[in-house]
Parts: sequence; C-alpha cells; structure tokens
Amino acid sequence: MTAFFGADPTLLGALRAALVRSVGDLRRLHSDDPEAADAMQTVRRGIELLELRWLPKIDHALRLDTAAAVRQVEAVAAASGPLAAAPLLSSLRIDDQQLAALCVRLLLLWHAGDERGNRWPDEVEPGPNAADALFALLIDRPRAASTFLGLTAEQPGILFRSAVDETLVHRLLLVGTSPRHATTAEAGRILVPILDWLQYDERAYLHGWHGTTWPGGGRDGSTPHVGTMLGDVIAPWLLQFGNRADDWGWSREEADDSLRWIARDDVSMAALVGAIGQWQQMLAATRFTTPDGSLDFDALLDVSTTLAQLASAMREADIKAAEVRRFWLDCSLLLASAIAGLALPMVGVTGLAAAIGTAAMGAGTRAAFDHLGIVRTAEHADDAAQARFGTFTANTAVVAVVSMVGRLIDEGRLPPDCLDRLQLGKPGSATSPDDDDDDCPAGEVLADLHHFVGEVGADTDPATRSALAAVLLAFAHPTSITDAC
Amino acid sequence: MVVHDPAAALLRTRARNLRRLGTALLETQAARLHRRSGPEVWSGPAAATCLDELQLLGRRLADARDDLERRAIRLDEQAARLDAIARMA
Repeated sequence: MTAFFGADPTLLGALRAALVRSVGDLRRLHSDDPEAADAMQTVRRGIELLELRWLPKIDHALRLDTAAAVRQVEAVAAASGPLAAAPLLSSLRIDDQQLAALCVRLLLLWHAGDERGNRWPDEVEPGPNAADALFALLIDRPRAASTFLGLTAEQPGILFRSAVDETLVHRLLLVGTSPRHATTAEAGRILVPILDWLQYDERAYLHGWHGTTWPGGGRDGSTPHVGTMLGDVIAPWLLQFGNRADDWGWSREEADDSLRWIARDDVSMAALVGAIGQWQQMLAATRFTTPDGSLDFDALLDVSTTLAQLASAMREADIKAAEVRRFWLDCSLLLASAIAGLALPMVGVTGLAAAIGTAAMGAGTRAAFDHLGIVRTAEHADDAAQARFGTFTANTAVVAVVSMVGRLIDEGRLPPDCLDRLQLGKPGSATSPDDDDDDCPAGEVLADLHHFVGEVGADTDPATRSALAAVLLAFAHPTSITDAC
Repeated sequence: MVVHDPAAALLRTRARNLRRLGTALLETQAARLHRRSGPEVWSGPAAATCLDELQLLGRRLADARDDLERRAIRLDEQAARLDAIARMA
C-alpha cells in the first residue's frame, strides 16, 4: 500500500519545522513543582514520541512524493508527449525549482521527439503546443519562471524556439526577470546569455524560422517580435547596461554594445521608450541618499550615465521624434521626482504628470517644479517647458539640479528665493546670447547651470554645497558641455 | 487584622505558577500542530494517522492544562484551610 498519495512539499516542510519547534518549546517549559511533574512528563513523552515516529516519515514523504510524482509525469510525457503531461504539472505539489527543472526536461523531450525521433503531434498540428502550456504554467509561478529562465539561459532556443504564442514568451521573460521576482544577479544570469545569443548567434532565425505557419496565426517555435519584447524586459535593468555592468559580470563595453544593438532595432527601441512604467520601477528602486542622509554620488552618476547612454543610442535609432520627446519628458518627470524625494504611485505612461501634480511636496520643491514647468501654474504655463534647454543632456541636467535645489529649499538649507538667480541662456546670464560662443545653446545652458551652482553654493554650508556639486557633476560634467556642442 | 499562614502564601504562589504553566502549554505551537497536517498538506493513510496523533497531542495538552488547574485548585484550598487554622489560633 502506498503510504502517501500526495504532499505539498512547502506545507509538509512547514509541518516538519513546526514539529521540531514544538519539541523544543515543550522542553523549555519547566517547573520544579512536583505537582506539575506528571502533567509535564505526559506531554513531553507525547511530543517526543511524535517526533520519533513522524519526522522520518515526513522526510521520507518529502523525498518519495516528489520523486514519484515527477516519474509519473515523465512517464506520461514519454508515452503520450509533453503536451499530454503538461496538465499534470498544475496539480502536482512540487516546489518552484522542481517545477522549473521538470519544464526544462519536458521541453527537451518535446524538441527531441518520440523514441523514434518523430515530431510530437502538437508540433505538426495547429493550436497550442506543449511549450505554450508549460510557459503559461510558469507565468503563474514567478519564482519558477525565474528559475526556468536561469536554467535555459545558456540554451535560449528552448525559450525562443518552442511556443506557438510568442506573447507567452514575452510574458515569461517579463515575469521571470522582473525586479519583483528576480534578484539583480539572477536577472543578469538570464539576460546576458540571451542577449549574447540573440545578438551573435541566432538573430537571423527570428525572421526566417523554417516552421509552418498555421492558418490561425502563429507557428511552433517562432518568435518574430523578439525586438518588441526586449525593450520592456531590459527597461528595469538599464543601470546594468551602464555603470553597474559589473552587477551582471559583463564589461561596460559589452553592456553598451548590447544596448546599442537593441537600439538599432526600431521596434526594440520603441518598446524601451514606451516602457516608462518599468523605468519608474528602476528609479524608484534607486536611492539617491545614503542611510546617513548624505547624497549618494555613485547612484546619481549611475543614472546620469545611463541617461547619457540612452541619448546616444537613441540618436542612432530611427524613432519618431514625438516618441523620443515623450520619453525624455517622462524621464525628466521621474528624475525630478526621484531627486526631490517624492514618493509617487506607480503609474502608466499617461498618468505621471498628473501624479506629480497631486503629490505632497514642500513649497521649495513645488517652486522648483514650477520653474521647470513640471507643475504648471498660470505664471509658468509653458507647453514646451520641459524641452527648452537645447538638448536632452542639458534638459536632464537642469531637471536634476533644479529638483535638488527645491529639495534643499524644503530642507531649509537654501533660501526660498535662490531659484530667482537661475538664468538659463537669457540676457544677463553667465553665457547670454551676446557672448561669443552662442552657437551652442545647450552648452550655454550647462555653463549657466555651473555658474548658478557656484553662486548659490558660495553662500551656503559645505554639506549643501557638496550636494549641489554632486548633482551638477553627475548630470552636467564639464565633458558633457563639450559633448553637447 | 487578617491573619495569614506563611505556608498558605507559598501554596497560592505554587497554584498561580501551575495555572501559568497550564496556559503556556496551550499557547505552544504543539497545541496547534494538527492544523498544519490537514489533507491540503499531505494525504493518504499515513497522513491521516499523523493527523489523528497530532489531534490526540492537542487533547493531551488540554488534559494536562486541566490537570494542572485541578492541582492548583487543591493548593488554593489547602492555603485557605491553613489560613483558617491560623485565624482560629
């Protein structure tokens, strides 16, 4: 007779841990009173007998149940094909790692064919195949999805050359590499080999896979829109394509090459530009202040470098000007909010400005945003406010510095009227159009920004001065003035 | 003036400690172990036996608490008798 019909390894593991803890709890309950001796001896003996009797059985069940279940699924797969076995997985009580490993084995079997090497029926008939069923299952188990992607990262064909419905591949990638479910290192272990494979080995197949196209659309193992997928998949991890390349164990050059490769694909870049929600996650997860309250220059530099990288990559890509403008506007809004320390709800592409408009913020931050045109008032109702500083580099620098000034005003470290001194490219500014080098408006704006920070910083304390200098250096480094021109 | 036998105070302290011990027994995880062993955790004859035995453990803990309570009551009664004797003396 089979002692165990089925077990949830997680819950059974919890029972095991609770049993062990209970033995300890009852041993710790102590009384010297002879009146308590009988009762305590009875309960201690009871729990110790239970431990002696059930711990080995639970351990056995944990091993036996999983192994038996997996064998059962594999037997069905070998006899009737992975598609027939796929539904069994959803009723199996196996943990995320086991599920991921089993999915890999079933997909390898699906690719290998039956024992005679013939294709499985679901590959040669219309409709969803085994990969579609397994991917859908994994999408519902995000940790299993991450593990699966990690296991198949070195053989990306398992991911890209299996399913009929490529949206499942996209969703699987999104779920499995999301910062909510995967650590930075895990995402790197998944995405770096995949990008390498797509970039250097298999790009051609994506547009020329030999599979059959079915009348209802889709074909086994075809992922023609992989470009669309990559944009929003990598969006939360853009810092790892720049200053934080080390996190993923690749060089800055390799990371930058990959980003430029993605940017060369118009669809990928458009997807990246459109993935502002993912950007918001990235900036929300980036802390610009250290635990002791001082400014984290490295974090600022990481973000500014990434923005500069994107600006450069976008120049090479053929994206509609309106989309690029929209992207930089959203980036400016996010950057300003992050530097000003505003906690915004996660919003979609259209809700960002409204979210900032209704966010709780101090008078200094509001004045700074008003100055930038982020929160429009009658006084500063300028539709083009966010893009008036010549180039996106200059624009980003202005947004970063002005947001920081607003924050410092709110913290009482700068006078409320100090933004009045900021004159960008206007007559009377450090580099007014009357100057000789007026052929580079962006360069003038950045120089004016340096002048403003120098002037304001001179009247304040060293900590405030260094905070301003850090933002300025990160977003308006002297070389960026040269680059801007 | 209310007269107390010092030994009575000791008995009452012991009674209080027995009651605390009884309460602590039922607050241990052991008293709720059976809730972690239902059919959603594992199934089959062995699992059913395990559940029965864990429920039995829960009942034993409740019995132990009742036993401690009865003993505490007896100690309180002894204390009351000692106080009564002290007052008569």
